[in-house]
Amino acid sequence: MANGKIKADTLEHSTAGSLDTQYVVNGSTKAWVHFDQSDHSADASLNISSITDSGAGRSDPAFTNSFSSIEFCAVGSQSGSTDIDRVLAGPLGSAGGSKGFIRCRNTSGSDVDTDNVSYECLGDLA
Amino acid sequence: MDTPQFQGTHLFDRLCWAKENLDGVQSDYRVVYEDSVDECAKILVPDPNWMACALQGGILPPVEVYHELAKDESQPDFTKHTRGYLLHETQPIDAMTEEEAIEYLIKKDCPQAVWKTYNEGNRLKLVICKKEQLPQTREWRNAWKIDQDLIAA
Repeated sequence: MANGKIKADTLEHSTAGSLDTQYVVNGSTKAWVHFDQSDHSADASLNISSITDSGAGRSDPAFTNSFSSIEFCAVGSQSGSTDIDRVLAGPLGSAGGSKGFIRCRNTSGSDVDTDNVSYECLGDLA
Repeated sequence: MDTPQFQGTHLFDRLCWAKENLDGVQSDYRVVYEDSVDECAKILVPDPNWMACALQGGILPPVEVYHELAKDESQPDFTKHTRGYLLHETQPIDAMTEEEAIEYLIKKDCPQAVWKTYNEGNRLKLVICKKEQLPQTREWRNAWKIDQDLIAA
Protein backbone atom coordinates (compact mmCIF):
# COMPACT_ATOMS: atom_id res chain seq x y z
CA MET A 1 0.00 0.00 0.00
CA ALA A 2 1.55 3.33 -1.09
CA ASN A 3 2.33 5.65 1.83
CA GLY A 4 0.68 3.15 4.16
CA LYS A 5 1.37 2.88 7.87
CA ILE A 6 1.80 -0.19 10.01
CA LYS A 7 1.37 0.40 13.73
CA ALA A 8 2.86 -2.24 15.98
CA ASP A 9 4.45 -2.33 19.40
CA THR A 10 6.02 -5.75 18.89
CA LEU A 11 7.58 -7.75 16.06
CA GLU A 12 7.41 -11.51 16.59
CA HIS A 13 9.47 -14.17 14.82
CA SER A 14 8.04 -17.65 14.41
CA THR A 15 10.80 -19.27 16.46
CA ALA A 16 13.35 -16.65 17.55
CA GLY A 17 11.18 -14.63 19.90
CA SER A 18 9.81 -11.11 19.77
CA LEU A 19 11.18 -7.59 19.65
CA ASP A 20 9.62 -4.39 20.97
CA THR A 21 9.52 -1.85 18.10
CA GLN A 22 10.84 0.75 20.56
CA TYR A 23 14.23 -0.90 19.97
CA VAL A 24 13.95 -0.04 16.29
CA VAL A 25 12.76 3.52 16.89
CA ASN A 26 15.32 4.31 19.58
CA GLY A 27 18.20 2.36 18.06
CA SER A 28 18.15 3.74 14.52
CA THR A 29 20.63 6.26 13.19
CA LYS A 30 18.97 9.68 13.19
CA ALA A 31 21.57 11.61 11.19
CA TRP A 32 24.44 10.58 8.93
CA VAL A 33 26.67 11.94 6.22
CA HIS A 34 29.52 10.82 3.96
CA PHE A 35 31.86 13.45 2.50
CA ASP A 36 35.43 14.39 1.56
CA GLN A 37 37.25 17.03 3.56
CA SER A 38 38.84 18.31 0.36
CA ASP A 39 35.58 20.12 -0.48
CA HIS A 40 33.03 19.22 2.26
CA SER A 41 30.29 18.47 -0.28
CA ALA A 42 28.10 15.68 1.06
CA ASP A 43 28.00 12.61 -1.20
CA ALA A 44 25.07 11.14 0.72
CA SER A 45 23.30 12.12 3.93
CA LEU A 46 20.17 12.19 6.05
CA ASN A 47 19.03 14.96 8.42
CA ILE A 48 22.02 17.20 7.68
CA SER A 49 21.52 20.86 6.71
CA SER A 50 25.15 21.85 6.19
CA ILE A 51 28.73 20.91 6.92
CA THR A 52 31.04 23.63 8.16
CA ASP A 53 34.69 23.32 7.14
CA SER A 54 36.35 24.61 10.32
CA GLY A 55 39.94 24.03 9.21
CA ALA A 56 42.21 21.21 8.13
CA GLY A 57 40.72 17.91 9.27
CA ARG A 58 37.92 19.69 11.13
CA SER A 59 34.26 19.43 10.08
CA ASP A 60 31.04 20.40 11.88
CA PRO A 61 27.80 18.91 10.51
CA ALA A 62 24.54 20.70 11.46
CA PHE A 63 21.24 18.85 11.80
CA THR A 64 17.91 19.77 10.23
CA ASN A 65 15.98 18.03 13.02
CA SER A 66 18.01 18.79 16.14
CA PHE A 67 18.61 16.24 18.85
CA SER A 68 16.73 16.81 22.08
CA SER A 69 19.93 17.52 23.99
CA ILE A 70 23.68 17.42 23.70
CA GLU A 71 23.57 13.88 25.04
CA PHE A 72 23.48 12.02 21.74
CA CYS A 73 25.94 9.45 20.49
CA ALA A 74 28.16 10.32 17.51
CA VAL A 75 30.44 7.96 15.60
CA GLY A 76 32.99 8.87 12.94
CA SER A 77 35.35 7.07 10.60
CA GLN A 78 37.52 7.67 7.56
CA SER A 79 39.16 5.51 4.92
CA GLY A 80 41.00 8.08 2.86
CA SER A 81 44.39 8.09 4.56
CA THR A 82 46.64 5.67 6.40
CA ASP A 83 48.26 8.58 8.24
CA ILE A 84 45.14 9.23 10.31
CA ASP A 85 45.26 7.27 13.55
CA ARG A 86 42.38 8.93 15.42
CA VAL A 87 38.93 10.12 14.38
CA LEU A 88 37.15 12.12 17.06
CA ALA A 89 33.38 12.63 16.82
CA GLY A 90 30.75 14.05 19.10
CA PRO A 91 28.20 16.78 19.78
CA LEU A 92 29.49 20.32 19.39
CA GLY A 93 29.70 21.59 22.95
CA SER A 94 28.16 25.00 22.56
CA ALA A 95 25.29 24.12 20.23
CA GLY A 96 22.72 22.18 22.25
CA GLY A 97 21.73 19.25 20.05
CA SER A 98 21.91 21.08 16.75
CA LYS A 99 25.49 20.49 15.64
CA GLY A 100 28.19 17.88 15.85
CA PHE A 101 31.89 17.67 15.08
CA ILE A 102 34.38 15.30 13.52
CA ARG A 103 38.17 15.64 13.68
CA CYS A 104 40.66 13.55 11.70
CA ARG A 105 44.03 13.46 13.50
CA ASN A 106 47.35 12.10 12.31
CA THR A 107 50.03 10.30 14.28
CA SER A 108 51.66 13.64 15.16
CA GLY A 109 48.47 14.88 16.80
CA SER A 110 47.59 17.36 14.06
CA ASP A 111 44.20 17.57 12.39
CA VAL A 112 44.60 16.90 8.66
CA ASP A 113 42.21 16.59 5.73
CA THR A 114 41.19 13.20 4.49
CA ASP A 115 38.58 11.72 2.17
CA ASN A 116 35.77 9.22 2.64
CA VAL A 117 34.74 10.62 6.01
CA SER A 118 31.63 9.15 7.61
CA TYR A 119 29.68 10.52 10.55
CA GLU A 120 26.53 9.19 12.16
CA CYS A 121 24.49 9.99 15.24
CA LEU A 122 22.07 8.07 17.42
CA GLY A 123 19.86 9.52 20.11
CA ASP A 124 16.56 11.21 20.81
CA LEU A 125 15.38 13.89 18.39
CA ALA A 126 13.80 17.15 19.53
CA MET B 1 6.02 16.23 -7.54
CA ASP B 2 3.68 17.89 -5.05
CA THR B 3 4.68 17.96 -1.41
CA PRO B 4 2.18 16.25 0.90
CA GLN B 5 0.51 18.38 3.58
CA PHE B 6 3.23 18.07 6.20
CA GLN B 7 2.13 20.38 8.98
CA GLY B 8 1.95 18.17 12.10
CA THR B 9 4.19 15.49 10.56
CA HIS B 10 7.45 14.87 12.43
CA LEU B 11 10.25 16.74 10.66
CA PHE B 12 12.39 13.59 10.53
CA ASP B 13 9.61 11.77 8.66
CA ARG B 14 9.46 14.65 6.16
CA LEU B 15 13.23 14.37 5.59
CA CYS B 16 12.87 10.65 4.96
CA TRP B 17 10.12 11.39 2.41
CA ALA B 18 12.33 13.98 0.73
CA LYS B 19 15.30 11.63 0.55
CA GLU B 20 13.15 9.03 -1.16
CA ASN B 21 11.36 11.38 -3.56
CA LEU B 22 13.65 14.33 -4.35
CA ASP B 23 17.00 14.46 -6.11
CA GLY B 24 19.76 16.18 -4.16
CA VAL B 25 20.85 19.64 -5.32
CA GLN B 26 24.57 20.43 -5.00
CA SER B 27 24.79 24.18 -4.52
CA ASP B 28 27.79 26.13 -5.77
CA TYR B 29 27.29 28.72 -3.04
CA ARG B 30 29.59 28.80 -0.02
CA VAL B 31 29.35 30.97 3.09
CA VAL B 32 32.70 32.04 4.48
CA TYR B 33 32.67 33.50 7.98
CA GLU B 34 34.96 34.33 10.87
CA ASP B 35 33.66 33.94 14.41
CA SER B 36 36.99 34.33 16.21
CA VAL B 37 40.04 36.42 15.44
CA ASP B 38 42.19 33.55 16.70
CA GLU B 39 40.79 30.99 14.27
CA CYS B 40 40.83 30.56 10.54
CA ALA B 41 37.82 31.40 8.37
CA LYS B 42 35.10 28.75 8.38
CA ILE B 43 33.24 27.66 5.26
CA LEU B 44 29.64 26.52 5.40
CA VAL B 45 28.66 24.06 2.68
CA PRO B 46 24.93 23.39 2.09
CA ASP B 47 23.80 19.78 2.16
CA PRO B 48 22.27 18.63 -1.17
CA ASN B 49 19.27 16.88 0.42
CA TRP B 50 18.55 19.92 2.56
CA MET B 51 18.81 22.20 -0.50
CA ALA B 52 16.34 19.95 -2.34
CA CYS B 53 13.89 20.38 0.57
CA ALA B 54 14.36 24.15 0.53
CA LEU B 55 13.72 24.41 -3.22
CA GLN B 56 10.74 22.03 -3.06
CA GLY B 57 8.86 23.89 -0.30
CA GLY B 58 6.39 22.62 2.27
CA ILE B 59 9.01 20.59 4.18
CA LEU B 60 11.22 22.83 6.32
CA PRO B 61 9.96 24.87 9.28
CA PRO B 62 10.46 28.66 9.32
CA VAL B 63 13.97 29.59 10.45
CA GLU B 64 12.48 31.43 13.42
CA VAL B 65 11.66 28.02 14.92
CA TYR B 66 15.39 27.29 15.17
CA HIS B 67 15.91 30.67 16.82
CA GLU B 68 13.32 29.77 19.45
CA LEU B 69 15.14 26.49 20.14
CA ALA B 70 18.44 28.40 20.30
CA LYS B 71 16.91 30.70 22.91
CA ASP B 72 16.03 27.66 25.01
CA GLU B 73 19.56 26.28 24.61
CA SER B 74 21.05 29.54 25.84
CA GLN B 75 19.26 29.32 29.18
CA PRO B 76 21.65 28.46 32.03
CA ASP B 77 19.41 25.64 33.26
CA PHE B 78 18.93 24.08 29.78
CA THR B 79 19.27 20.32 29.78
CA LYS B 80 16.83 19.13 27.12
CA HIS B 81 14.52 20.58 24.47
CA THR B 82 10.89 20.74 25.57
CA ARG B 83 9.63 22.72 22.56
CA GLY B 84 10.71 20.37 19.81
CA TYR B 85 7.07 20.29 18.70
CA LEU B 86 7.72 23.68 17.07
CA LEU B 87 9.75 21.86 14.41
CA HIS B 88 6.87 19.54 13.59
CA GLU B 89 3.72 21.59 14.16
CA THR B 90 4.62 24.98 12.70
CA GLN B 91 3.36 25.56 9.16
CA PRO B 92 6.25 24.62 6.81
CA ILE B 93 7.58 27.39 4.60
CA ASP B 94 6.99 27.65 0.88
CA ALA B 95 9.59 26.94 -1.81
CA MET B 96 12.64 29.19 -1.72
CA THR B 97 15.05 30.25 -4.42
CA GLU B 98 18.60 29.02 -3.99
CA GLU B 99 19.63 32.49 -2.80
CA GLU B 100 16.81 32.61 -0.23
CA ALA B 101 17.81 29.14 0.93
CA ILE B 102 21.38 30.30 1.52
CA GLU B 103 20.09 33.25 3.56
CA TYR B 104 17.94 30.83 5.59
CA LEU B 105 20.92 28.55 6.12
CA ILE B 106 23.09 31.43 7.33
CA LYS B 107 20.44 32.28 9.91
CA LYS B 108 20.18 28.65 10.94
CA ASP B 109 23.76 27.36 10.96
CA CYS B 110 26.07 30.38 11.34
CA PRO B 111 26.55 31.80 14.85
CA GLN B 112 24.05 34.59 15.48
CA ALA B 113 26.89 36.82 16.67
CA VAL B 114 28.26 36.68 13.13
CA TRP B 115 25.21 37.14 10.89
CA LYS B 116 23.36 39.62 13.10
CA THR B 117 26.29 42.03 12.97
CA TYR B 118 27.78 41.11 9.60
CA ASN B 119 27.67 44.73 8.40
CA GLU B 120 28.87 46.33 11.63
CA GLY B 121 32.44 47.15 12.60
CA ASN B 122 35.39 47.69 10.32
CA ARG B 123 36.13 44.06 9.57
CA LEU B 124 34.38 41.86 7.05
CA LYS B 125 33.29 38.67 8.81
CA LEU B 126 30.83 37.00 6.44
CA VAL B 127 30.95 36.55 2.68
CA ILE B 128 28.75 34.54 0.31
CA CYS B 129 30.69 33.32 -2.70
CA LYS B 130 30.79 30.57 -5.31
CA LYS B 131 32.98 27.56 -4.64
CA GLU B 132 35.29 28.42 -7.55
CA GLN B 133 36.12 31.67 -5.75
CA LEU B 134 37.72 29.75 -2.88
CA PRO B 135 41.42 28.81 -3.03
CA GLN B 136 41.77 25.85 -5.37
CA THR B 137 44.04 23.89 -3.05
CA ARG B 138 43.85 23.33 0.72
CA GLU B 139 47.39 24.60 1.30
CA TRP B 140 47.72 26.59 4.55
CA ARG B 141 44.02 25.93 5.27
CA ASN B 142 44.40 26.87 8.94
CA ALA B 143 45.63 30.34 7.97
CA TRP B 144 42.79 31.25 5.64
CA LYS B 145 41.11 34.58 6.41
CA ILE B 146 38.54 36.68 4.57
CA ASP B 147 40.24 39.12 2.21
CA GLN B 148 39.50 42.50 3.81
CA ASP B 149 40.12 44.22 0.50
CA LEU B 150 36.64 42.98 -0.45
CA ILE B 151 35.25 45.87 1.64
CA ALA B 152 36.58 48.31 -0.92
CA ALA B 153 35.44 46.18 -3.84
